[in-house]
Amino acid sequence: MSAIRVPASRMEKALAETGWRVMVPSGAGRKGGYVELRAGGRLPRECGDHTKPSTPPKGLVFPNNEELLSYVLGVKGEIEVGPASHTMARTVLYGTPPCDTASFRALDSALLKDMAEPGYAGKRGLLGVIGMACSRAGRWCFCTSVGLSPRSNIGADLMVYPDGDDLLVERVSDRLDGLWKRLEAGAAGADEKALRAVEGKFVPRVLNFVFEAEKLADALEKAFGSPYWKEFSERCVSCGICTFLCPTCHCFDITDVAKDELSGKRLRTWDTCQFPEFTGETSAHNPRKERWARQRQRVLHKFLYHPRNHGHMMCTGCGRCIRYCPVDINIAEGVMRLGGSK
Amino acid sequence: MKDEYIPVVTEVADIRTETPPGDRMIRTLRVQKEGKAPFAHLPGQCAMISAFGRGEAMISIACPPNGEYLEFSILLQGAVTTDLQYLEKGEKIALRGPYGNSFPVDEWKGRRVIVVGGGIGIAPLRSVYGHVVRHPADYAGLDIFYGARDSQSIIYKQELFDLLEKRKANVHLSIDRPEPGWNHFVGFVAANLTRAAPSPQNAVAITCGPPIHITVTLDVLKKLGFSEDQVYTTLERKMKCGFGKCGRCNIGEVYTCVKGPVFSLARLRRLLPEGLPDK
Amino acid sequence: MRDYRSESARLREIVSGLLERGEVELVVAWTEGEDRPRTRETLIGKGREDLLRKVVWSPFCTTSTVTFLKKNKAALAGKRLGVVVKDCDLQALNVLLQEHFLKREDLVIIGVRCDGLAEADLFPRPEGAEVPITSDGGGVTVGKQRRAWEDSGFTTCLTCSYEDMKPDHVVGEYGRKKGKPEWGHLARLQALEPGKRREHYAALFESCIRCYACREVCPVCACVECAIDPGERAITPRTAPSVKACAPVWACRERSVSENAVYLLTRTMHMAGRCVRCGWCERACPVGLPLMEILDLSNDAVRRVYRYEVGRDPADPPFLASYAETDPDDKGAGH
Repeated sequence: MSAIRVPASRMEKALAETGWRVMVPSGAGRKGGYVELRAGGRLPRECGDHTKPSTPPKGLVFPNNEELLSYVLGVKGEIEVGPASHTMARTVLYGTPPCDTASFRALDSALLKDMAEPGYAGKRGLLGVIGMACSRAGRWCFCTSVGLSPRSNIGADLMVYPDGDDLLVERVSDRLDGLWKRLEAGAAGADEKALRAVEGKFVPRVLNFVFEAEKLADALEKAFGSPYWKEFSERCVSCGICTFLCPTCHCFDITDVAKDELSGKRLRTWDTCQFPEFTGETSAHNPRKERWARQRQRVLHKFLYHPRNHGHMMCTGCGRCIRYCPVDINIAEGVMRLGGSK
Repeated sequence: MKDEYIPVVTEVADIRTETPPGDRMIRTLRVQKEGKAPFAHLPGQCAMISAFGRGEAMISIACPPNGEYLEFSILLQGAVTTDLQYLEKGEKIALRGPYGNSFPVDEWKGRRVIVVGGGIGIAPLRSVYGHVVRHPADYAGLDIFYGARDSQSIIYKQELFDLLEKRKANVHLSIDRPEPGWNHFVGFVAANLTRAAPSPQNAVAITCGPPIHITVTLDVLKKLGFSEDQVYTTLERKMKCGFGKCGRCNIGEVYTCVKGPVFSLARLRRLLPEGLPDK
Repeated sequence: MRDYRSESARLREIVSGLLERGEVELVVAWTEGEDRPRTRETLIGKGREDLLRKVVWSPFCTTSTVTFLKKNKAALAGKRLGVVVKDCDLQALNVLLQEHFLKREDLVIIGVRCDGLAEADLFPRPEGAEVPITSDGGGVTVGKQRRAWEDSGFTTCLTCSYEDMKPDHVVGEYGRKKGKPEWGHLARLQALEPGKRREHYAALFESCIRCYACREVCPVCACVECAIDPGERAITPRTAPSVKACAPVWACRERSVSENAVYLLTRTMHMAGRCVRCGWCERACPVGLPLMEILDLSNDAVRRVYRYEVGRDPADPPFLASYAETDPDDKGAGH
């Protein structure tokens, strides 16, 4: 059976029994974040734009600050390198809206495919994601334009659809089978029809713009030299908001932090294509020294390069980059101008 | 699982000072681990070298694969390379790699190889001409065009004069301005290339150097009749991780550290215009 | 009551007149965006009727046209520009003029008298073009939605006291009494025992994600290379390796209380006598840090102790470049 109906309280109990750390969205907007549920704390019963924190869940497995190694140098030039552990407590992320849930598909393909990024790989293996159907779209939401919807389960291991005091729980992957077995024991099964019926309550907002991945990629490729990029980014201030708050953006910097002359650590920190130094070579040559070239990189990475490499858009339509941009740069507006279809 | 960030600690087996100390100093470091090369590589590949406390820098491997050692010709440029210039023979050096793709030297068997290097750009090309020199029977010939701003800045001097004397390669050296005692070409590498006008027939040309060097060389090669799939270059981009994750070295959807830094001109054209060197 | 539709119409007349008569090549003004009542800074040249039509002035012109000038300095160099500024923008512009970052003779300044700003996102999207935006002494109204000034998301505007606008052209009349600077929040913090104060600031510094929005949106944070944590380095192909290798690192990339504190506090010190209290940094901060609380540490000393008015007039000497024998000593500064 791949779906069951359980009382919401049962989920609370089953999760508590696992002893895993449970992270939930807490506080909407700027002050919010994904935080650890305290013992005995209530799980969120609904999710939507009104419960969405400004910072996405990526930081759980892709922290802004991650030690990659430590080093000790000898006075005679000896080098001792200590690897970092890249681990965390077994964690379940509960109640992520579909936009944040789907971000893990993009992050996994970017950071695990071919050669895995060790820091992400280590933590990701210890994370389970329980996505929740979204009951309220916000002013800047456009998940339905990027092939997702308020009820999509992409990126989830279990998907829950709140239905009164009950939850319909769908098993999407085997990663959380430990929990699934606890839930399943004695629970009422939900057949395909029942699932669809509850799912149907989470109505996708119809937007007047749709991005069709392949067509869009082709159109953007043709628009590479478009003068619109300059107009799109003339008021950009080159801060990191759009990318740091993006649930899928994953570019990073590696720098050494010396503790003293002979020891220190190597760190991985969030970086962004919007900072001028991101591509600045030591020689002073910089292939993306103009702001428009950097904004173009952000848009094309999401809608052209990542789709070409991984088959899906690197944007989940969460709307954070639009909502929090201090100068009202709107990625959906830009993409529409350059290659979207009504 | 292998932790890609952990470098292998090797030893500086030898150091050659290629150019005099100063702001453009170049030294070639030979590194070994227990008397052998720390890892196998292909011509054109790179390695990430650590200067702990300063960071890492991606440096191309400047010797052909030989199993015995790796060599890096390092130009004094910023924080990491400043630290590396103080390394002494016998000291430890940490590096990881190899990274990136390579020049398809096996595909080129039977053809004439033309190397066009400017400044420090000769370093990655040395892994190719060194390979051709090691396997002379496999190739129809070797031309090396190489220029620097002055005679002091020419690197691999002894090796190149040896190749010339022993007729193992046609070496065409140049410097930008006349100097007493210099009896080779005076002018830019591209002018030297135009003068010698090598035939594109059964040949491949590879180039590396400052962006302007690459741009002008590509123009000259085109005029000489080289088609875009006969011309290869190796590109420089800012790199941090080296294995396609950190997101900064891309040209279109291609990460230079994985599917580059070696590109045929034909392939570069198929990528977005971002890939072509600055005018 | 102020009607911003008619004030916007008046502003459009001025802007289009300046462009028509060739008095300026380009104008930086706010236009209506896709997401009304949000507005955005836009560069408008002669003949761009499409943009001119959208020129707007309202309490939703919350971004700074001076930041736009700062960010586009190289591209706009040598051009004669019109720039639309509200009170705090003009103060910031005066700071940059005092520091010779911009030249007064390159600019035609169009001032809009401001009664306070309002967060566009707190108001529903107006349907149709003709929705009136008005304000009075009590608050802002968009269509049927009204919010009190205290409730409109802009705390700094409540204590803005600037009314010395001397622009080349001016639009609108003040419809509300200006406020007075208030330092009560600082007194409360400083009354805390040192341990508690430390905890308070440590929690604040810890949340910083180092996106640098505060620095980048700031109209007067104008250094090409930020000394604390350069996002852009002032180097050329000729810069000597020793210069690049020895660049000081005040705040390293590590996201930690101490490194974040170095970034935020050093910025505060550098803003002494330069911060015009527009509050944009605080509103832009994506994790909701009360940045004005930190900046006010130096603002308080500058304004209350040294009685210096920031950005009052382009002819005034910059705060840190001025000295009077009557200046209070360190003890008087209270820090």
